[in-house]
Amino acid sequence: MSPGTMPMAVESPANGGQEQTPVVSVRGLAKTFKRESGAMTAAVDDVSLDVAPGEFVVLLGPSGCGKTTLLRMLAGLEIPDSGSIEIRGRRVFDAAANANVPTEQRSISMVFQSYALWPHMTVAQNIAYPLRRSGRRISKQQIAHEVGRVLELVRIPDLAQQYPNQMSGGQQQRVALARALVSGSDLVLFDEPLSNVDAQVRERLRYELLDLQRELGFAAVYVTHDQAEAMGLANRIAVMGAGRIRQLASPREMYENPTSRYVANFVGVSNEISGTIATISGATATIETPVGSLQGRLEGTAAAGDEATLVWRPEHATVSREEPLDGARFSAEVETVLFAGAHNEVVIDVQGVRARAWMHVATPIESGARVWVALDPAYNRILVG
Amino acid sequence: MFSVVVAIVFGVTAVYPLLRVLMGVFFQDGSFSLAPITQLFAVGGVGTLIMNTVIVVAVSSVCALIIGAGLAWLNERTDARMGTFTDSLPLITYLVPPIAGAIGWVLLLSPSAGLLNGLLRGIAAAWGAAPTSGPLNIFTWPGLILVYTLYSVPYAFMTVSAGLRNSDTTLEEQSRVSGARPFRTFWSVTLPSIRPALGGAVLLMVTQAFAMYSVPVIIGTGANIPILSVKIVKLLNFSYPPQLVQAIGLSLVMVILVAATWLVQSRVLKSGRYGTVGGKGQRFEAIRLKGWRPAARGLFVLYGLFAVVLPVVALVLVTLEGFWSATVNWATLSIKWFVQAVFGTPTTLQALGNSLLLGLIGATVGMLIAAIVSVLMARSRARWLGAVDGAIKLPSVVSHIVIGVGMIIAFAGPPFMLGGTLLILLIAYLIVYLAQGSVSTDAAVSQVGADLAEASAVAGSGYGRTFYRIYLPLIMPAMVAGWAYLFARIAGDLAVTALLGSPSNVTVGYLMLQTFHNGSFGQLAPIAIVLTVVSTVVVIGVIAISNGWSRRRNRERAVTKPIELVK
Repeated sequence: MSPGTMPMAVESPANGGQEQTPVVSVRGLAKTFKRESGAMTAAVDDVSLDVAPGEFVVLLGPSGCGKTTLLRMLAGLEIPDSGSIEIRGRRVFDAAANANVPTEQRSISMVFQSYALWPHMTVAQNIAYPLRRSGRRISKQQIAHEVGRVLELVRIPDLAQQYPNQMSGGQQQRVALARALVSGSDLVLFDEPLSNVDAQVRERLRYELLDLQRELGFAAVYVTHDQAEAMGLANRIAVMGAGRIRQLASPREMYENPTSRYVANFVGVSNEISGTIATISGATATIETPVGSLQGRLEGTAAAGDEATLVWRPEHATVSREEPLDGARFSAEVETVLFAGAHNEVVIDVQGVRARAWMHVATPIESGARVWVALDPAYNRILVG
Repeated sequence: MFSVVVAIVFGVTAVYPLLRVLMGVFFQDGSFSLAPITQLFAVGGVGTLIMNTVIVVAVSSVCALIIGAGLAWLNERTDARMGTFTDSLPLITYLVPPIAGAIGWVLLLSPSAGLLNGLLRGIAAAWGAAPTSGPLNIFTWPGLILVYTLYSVPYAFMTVSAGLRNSDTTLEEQSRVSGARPFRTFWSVTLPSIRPALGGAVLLMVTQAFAMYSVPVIIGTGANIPILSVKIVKLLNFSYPPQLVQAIGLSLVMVILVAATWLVQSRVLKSGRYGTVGGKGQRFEAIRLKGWRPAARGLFVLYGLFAVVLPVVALVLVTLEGFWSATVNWATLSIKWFVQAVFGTPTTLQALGNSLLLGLIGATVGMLIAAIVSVLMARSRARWLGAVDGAIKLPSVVSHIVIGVGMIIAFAGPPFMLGGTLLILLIAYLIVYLAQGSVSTDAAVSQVGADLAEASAVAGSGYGRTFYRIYLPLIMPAMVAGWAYLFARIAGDLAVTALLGSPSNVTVGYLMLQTFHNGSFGQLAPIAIVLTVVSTVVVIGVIAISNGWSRRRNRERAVTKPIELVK
């Protein structure tokens, strides 16, 4: 097995597989850019990360958070200012030792946001290109066989002789993916590959990509700003902000137990109520807010008297027109009602702060009405800072 | 890295002769002196000289940009295109070397003996008037600017065509969908999106216009319009002792003017992305001109007439006559004068052979170097590369004459001992003419999206393979056009030959200069014809093939098939 190809049987990390060398191991990466104005911005700031074999890691964050820069550093397209990168246990970058293995020797694959298909080559030639890397002897028949194989995998077997500019965006995307898969690399990088594709095609491609990844077993590092995409694809998500990883966890863990307001806001819909911590008992805290005393699980350390925010999600709140008989509850005024198919999205005003709640479509509700909101303390999260 | 070595070696070679010259000037006999600058003002009429040159260059460049860009747009975006004819028409003037064109126009519109004038006088006589000279005169400001413009148009056409071909047509489609008529789309969307190409065209035209020697020496002298380049040659070749110091001073003026243009252009190229070839599909449909089409096509024909047909016809007629006069005696036309002039003189044949050889080698080597450097510049962020790029572009601005002198000082004697050889000519040609090929490759390379090269690196290709398999095919149109330009310029070169040529290694330019100074326009005609024919055949062949490739590739997008939304 030549280096860079995936092992036959891969234990998914979710199954608690055996201890294996991480495919990617990043320590203390940092990169600063100089803006036109002369100011220095830290695009990536002290990032450390491991990617296990066969793991799907998503780098999630808004524009400018450093996720694309981080990905490009893994590929060798950007040179970090400090830190080190190991791929398959081999050090490909070390700022301290001034060592850098150039991109073409890292044995990785990458799908670009713009697809980066070479317009002067046919689909077959585009896909065959990585197979012809220097120093690798491979016969024409074998090339044709491999190209055919991946074209089947991405479900466009008939497009081999077309040119990229004869195809739709979705088809071009598949070609780009096929090209990334053909050399059988165990690490594939994705730079927002689905952001230029329209919504329906995006969903379909997402499912197919997930199937392929599970079937072929390559490790994936995937950059996106779309949190639904991140949650659907990832084994673990790294939410990034201002060049740092804010939280690294499985989608469910991140959704249910965000460690900061930034993460809570970015992943899923979150509603916030600010207040002061009144009491703390074990993992639970009580917070005094303008709408009353609320309970929730405390994230991180705090003391009574600290400023904190209570975060709640629409699906864990009960919204009714009649006042509940017991339990913590508060009232709010309905601003807008948006029909969302499976439920009504109700935008309410809680003491001047906008929040989003769900109501059953059968319940009549209109803008201007007053509703009562009862939160579930088991799902409330209290975050400091 | 091989390419870095190439770039550095060439950069150094390009600048070295200039440095030697500069050194020799500022340090007269081992001590510092500012003679070039002070003596500059002692040159008679230097203010008028500079102003004349600037006017001629500026006016002709603007006119040529309008004509060239307009024709390029008509060819690339509308159905006025007539296949290879319109594709290569403006390029044909590359193939008619400026000296041949200048001679042709003199033969046509010289006040007393001009053929066209003779014809017009004949027509006027039929109406009762009897002018004795004119009515038109090539030896005037409009005449000079006309010929300058005619030979600047190809640069604009070539660069803008390449830019249009590689730009993102969805921007223009968007404009048309929004209801804008073709001209409005052209003005507000197309033009801004090909800014790099326009900038490249302007730089190219201005650069070569300043350095042009053959046209101003033939027409400018007769018109009594002193031009910078002619003056410099006069100071070096026709004064005894050669006024090196003053020549350098005047060259410095030229350098400053062109350097300013270059700075502006590099700003334009670096700021932002224009219609990059980003690996996404492009589809377009040619704008149908309907009633305007014959007029549009007529523009092409008109240009061809002025730039090629008329001067060549004059050259042919004079060749067939064996001498030059305003009236043509059709009975005495014979090809024997031509045969005698070309094949009867061994020097002519030798000159042709040498020029062709130099052209072929020079053009190929030159364009490869240009491409290597352009790609290096695009992919690497090292700042010293900018200096190398500047070193490569600088010589083209300085009068070829000064470079020639520098070459003599630097390479003719020990330790290189290249004096009088073809090699010294080749090196000089590369230094002088490469820059303009490299402007064209710069623009082409800047339109290849960086992600295409990155994808190649990710796929395991080092710099060499990426250059060969990704960049080269994608910039091929610019490479070919640049090759054609280099070939034509080298084969038909005049200025460099004047200094570095030797009787033992004759080139066509050397031959023509000798004939010109011996006073016979008529004898120049056959040589000019041969040069034209050979250049034309070689270059048109090359371009037609290349256009066939790239059109076939782009034609894959359906012009008539509706856009499909199949996923």
